[in-house]
Amino acid sequence: MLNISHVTKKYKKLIANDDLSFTVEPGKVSILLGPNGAGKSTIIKCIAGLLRFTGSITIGGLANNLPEAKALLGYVPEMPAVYDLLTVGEHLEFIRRAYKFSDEAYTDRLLQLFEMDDKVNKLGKELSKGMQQKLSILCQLAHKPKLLIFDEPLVGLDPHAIRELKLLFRELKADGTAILISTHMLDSVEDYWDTTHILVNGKFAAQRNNVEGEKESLEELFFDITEGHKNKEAGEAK
Amino acid sequence: MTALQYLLFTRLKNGLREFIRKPVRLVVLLLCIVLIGFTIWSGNMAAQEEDHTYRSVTELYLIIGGVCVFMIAATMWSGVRKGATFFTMPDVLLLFPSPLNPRGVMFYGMIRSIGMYLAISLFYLMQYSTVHGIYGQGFGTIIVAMILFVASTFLSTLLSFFIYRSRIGGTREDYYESVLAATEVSHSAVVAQKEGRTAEIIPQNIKLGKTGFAGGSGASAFYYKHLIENRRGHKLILNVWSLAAIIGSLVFAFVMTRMGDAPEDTTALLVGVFTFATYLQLFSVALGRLSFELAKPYIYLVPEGSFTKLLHCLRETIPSALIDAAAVGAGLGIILGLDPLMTVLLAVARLSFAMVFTAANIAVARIWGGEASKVVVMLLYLVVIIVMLIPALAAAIVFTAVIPISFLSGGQTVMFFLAVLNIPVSLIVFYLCRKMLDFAELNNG
Repeated sequence: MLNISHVTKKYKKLIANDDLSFTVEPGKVSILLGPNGAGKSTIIKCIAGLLRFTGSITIGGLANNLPEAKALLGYVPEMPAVYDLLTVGEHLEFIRRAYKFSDEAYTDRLLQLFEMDDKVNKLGKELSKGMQQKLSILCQLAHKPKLLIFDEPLVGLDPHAIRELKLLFRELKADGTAILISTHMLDSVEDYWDTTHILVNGKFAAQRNNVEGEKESLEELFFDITEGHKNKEAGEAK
Repeated sequence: MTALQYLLFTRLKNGLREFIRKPVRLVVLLLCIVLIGFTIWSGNMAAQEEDHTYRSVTELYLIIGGVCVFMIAATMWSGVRKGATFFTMPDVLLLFPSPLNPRGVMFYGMIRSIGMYLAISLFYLMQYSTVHGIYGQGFGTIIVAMILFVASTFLSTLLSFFIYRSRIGGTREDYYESVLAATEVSHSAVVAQKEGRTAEIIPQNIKLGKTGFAGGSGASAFYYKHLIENRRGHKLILNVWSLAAIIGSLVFAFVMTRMGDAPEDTTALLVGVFTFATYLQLFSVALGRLSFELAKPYIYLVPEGSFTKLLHCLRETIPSALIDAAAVGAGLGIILGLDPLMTVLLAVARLSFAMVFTAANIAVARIWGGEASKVVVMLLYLVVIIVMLIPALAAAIVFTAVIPISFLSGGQTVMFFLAVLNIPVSLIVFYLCRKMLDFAELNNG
């Protein structure tokens, strides 16, 4: 569903993503891990078509800047993307209209799942940060994308929404949706990840598949790679 | 050195260091110094001319007083409604919970604000040419004007802060709450400016009114969304800046026609008035809601062609551009006593400039969007405009001075070529930028 091939993103002299290649298959959950500043958000924004890059990114076999590819994509940014002057209900209507998606019952169900059905007439600017994050997630789920990418999706959510989102990840996975999640909350994805990519300084330091029976936790893997990387760098400096 | 003194001096020191670290700022600073030097030289040259006559100094005092009144009114209007603040967000978050003396913190905020107003007032120095060459006044008058500017801005901020406090109550908690609220407003504007986008000023009390979309499918959903947002945001068809630009242009035309030394050549008068009107228009033409859309991910994510999305986002600006062109055309036509053909040409030329400015905005966002600083973007914007105007201006000069057209007057020729060439040039630029949303550089999303 998602194919990243030799993607490099530079900000002047800084190489934020250095020749990255990976795929996310339908029905699989892929996790992007890495310390702050490793380049996780950058590669996610490149996939979403929000940044220019060199290399190739395809969604469903189509270049990511084509409308047909965009129709397959849902992107939840780290900062809630909410319009101050639209109500919650109008946000979802806007998405349905813009994506030419007519299943209103599905968006109603999402509103109930995330306990937003009583906030339909609340304006974006009147919502708390957590509510805005919920709405931002709902807007991207509302058109049933085939590829969902999340940049720190759980930040600001209340426990109920976190639980519902985790359940939804499983449901979407079962439906064949490809999911890419960037997160620091390792335990939140421990139960259902399929592949993980650990970024350090813009490069992949490790990539792993979740093989049943192997008991390496994401947390162990993360610290092995990132702390080991630091120790190696310190050794080289000496 | 106390903590606040340390903070004040370190921020000042680091602010000055930024000029060395960021060459663009240094270039802008040097440009300003050169401009001030030039204005002093040209002002002195003008004053040295033989039989040089000065305009009444009362007029200058009225202008200086007018600026002060405007600053007081604008600061009070904003401050009383939303609260005024001397603090930035880090000040509020770090200093307010600290055990520092609250009076000291307040004093620190005031000193910083005075410094900021003083820095802004340095732009008065650029007016030396006018003050000296036209009114025969020297640096003393400019320094008095600067002091008046700083004092009126600072005192009106202070006054509106106390009025706002007494409006919402006077307890210590209310004080912190009001400062925090006002600081949040100014902080979001600062963040928006750093990210190169425009912060939308949203009314505090919004009447929800009718909910839901009146239409829209695919890219046109943006247009119908903008209609809802404009209604709730209390946006009139013409915004305050457009209205101010129209009124300013008409007043200028009125004054010019009644001045004793107005040019007798009607073409020169018309070009002078139209140039001034276009200068004001430069600041009033904006991308409307497109500028806010460019800062959010949806415009890039919606699965429609980039050009279609751009056009639907610009749709809401069409009525204001048409009304603006009609108002300026008709207004100047009456004031300058123009014939109907000239009035229509002037209105179309005005519309063509709205298109040039919009296209230039888009071109800058397409080529340098998200990569250049605000100051550089502004300079590039002006350069793009100049380049886009070259064909029309060149044709206007050639067909008025070199090969005059017999059946058109000088003014008609100028307006005709502006209208006829600016519009296709703008359309070409729009077309060249049609893929803008497919090659975005959104660093804040």
